[in-house]
Amino acid sequence: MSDAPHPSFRSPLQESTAVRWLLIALAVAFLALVVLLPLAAVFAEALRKGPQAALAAFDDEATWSAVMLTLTVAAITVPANLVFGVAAAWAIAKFEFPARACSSP
Amino acid sequence: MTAAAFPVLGLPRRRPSALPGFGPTLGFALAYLSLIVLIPLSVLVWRASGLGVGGLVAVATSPRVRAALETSFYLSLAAAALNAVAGLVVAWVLTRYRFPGRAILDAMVDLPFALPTAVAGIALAAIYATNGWVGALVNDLFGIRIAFTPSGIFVALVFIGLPFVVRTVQPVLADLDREVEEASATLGATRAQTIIRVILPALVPAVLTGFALAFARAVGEYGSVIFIAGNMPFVSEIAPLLIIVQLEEFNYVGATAIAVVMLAISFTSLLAINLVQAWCLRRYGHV
Repeated sequence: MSDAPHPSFRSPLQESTAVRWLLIALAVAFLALVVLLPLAAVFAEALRKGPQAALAAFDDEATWSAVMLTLTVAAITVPANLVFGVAAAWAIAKFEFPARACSSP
Repeated sequence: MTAAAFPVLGLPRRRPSALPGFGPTLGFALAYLSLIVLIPLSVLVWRASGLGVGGLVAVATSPRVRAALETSFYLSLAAAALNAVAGLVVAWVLTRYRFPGRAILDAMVDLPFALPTAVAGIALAAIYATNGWVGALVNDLFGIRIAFTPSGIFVALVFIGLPFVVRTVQPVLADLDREVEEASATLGATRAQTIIRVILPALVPAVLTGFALAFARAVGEYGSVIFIAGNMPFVSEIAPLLIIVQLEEFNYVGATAIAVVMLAISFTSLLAINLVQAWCLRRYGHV
């Protein structure tokens, strides 16, 4: 007897091929419309007058100071929140105390 | 030290845990939380309390505020609901199937987290305006305007809420026990029956959590909505914008009153979702 599975055998743990590709198409279409399109629009608008004009936006002193401010604030708040997150997670997960239920979503 | 102190105070002695760090971690977490969250919220409530409960209710039911609150909350509910369904499909496809471009799409789901809200707002407004890529198409085919109407707000809220549902459902889906599906199949269920009656109920708590997170973010969203909403009172004005308007008129009490009302409604919604999750825990035995 041949060891090969019957050509039209589908594992009972798998959806049919049509359903699978339909779901993939739906998910890809949704993500393309909701996420990829705005991303493409950002780049299209930024480069509409050519890369030179886009790079000229960085010649401004105010632009650089705004970028540095954002980066500095992020560099301070992310480690602070990291420490808080680990401390809170340790306290909540490892110990029993009253009002612990208030902390779970 | 602590064991000696408690009997003096007459409190029952807490059973000491073998794991270190309870005092420092709880203390630090509470201090940080108080400073960043609890004290500002308390001051908010204290400021608004100048009006009294009657005054708060009057502010909440004044026509413009009511319209803004309704716009904010109903559109957030609708956007979170769409995200719950679409996010479930996306999480399923990303977890269960292999296809070209899957890794890139998986990374793309985080884009609404990464993109600054102002940039997202401007990009969405550009796309869905009547001379934009999608806006022109929809206008020609259906005669519907998207940007600068409540539909535009809905689109922006869907954009920013998507990662919450997908990232909440994905780990739960990945950890689902295959044995249960196999048992269902051996007992004679069709694949559709297995999915609907075995797998989806196990995902309901995760979907609800993602829905709650997407809803909470959408209600408070300001940056990405401001550019695509028309900001016309009674039509497309969101509650956070109304707070800003009050602040610009130096009406701090009015602004904090609207904020407290938003806070109360948000807490109620989250409480409702927590109750549903507790019901799921009792009914299905897991969260």
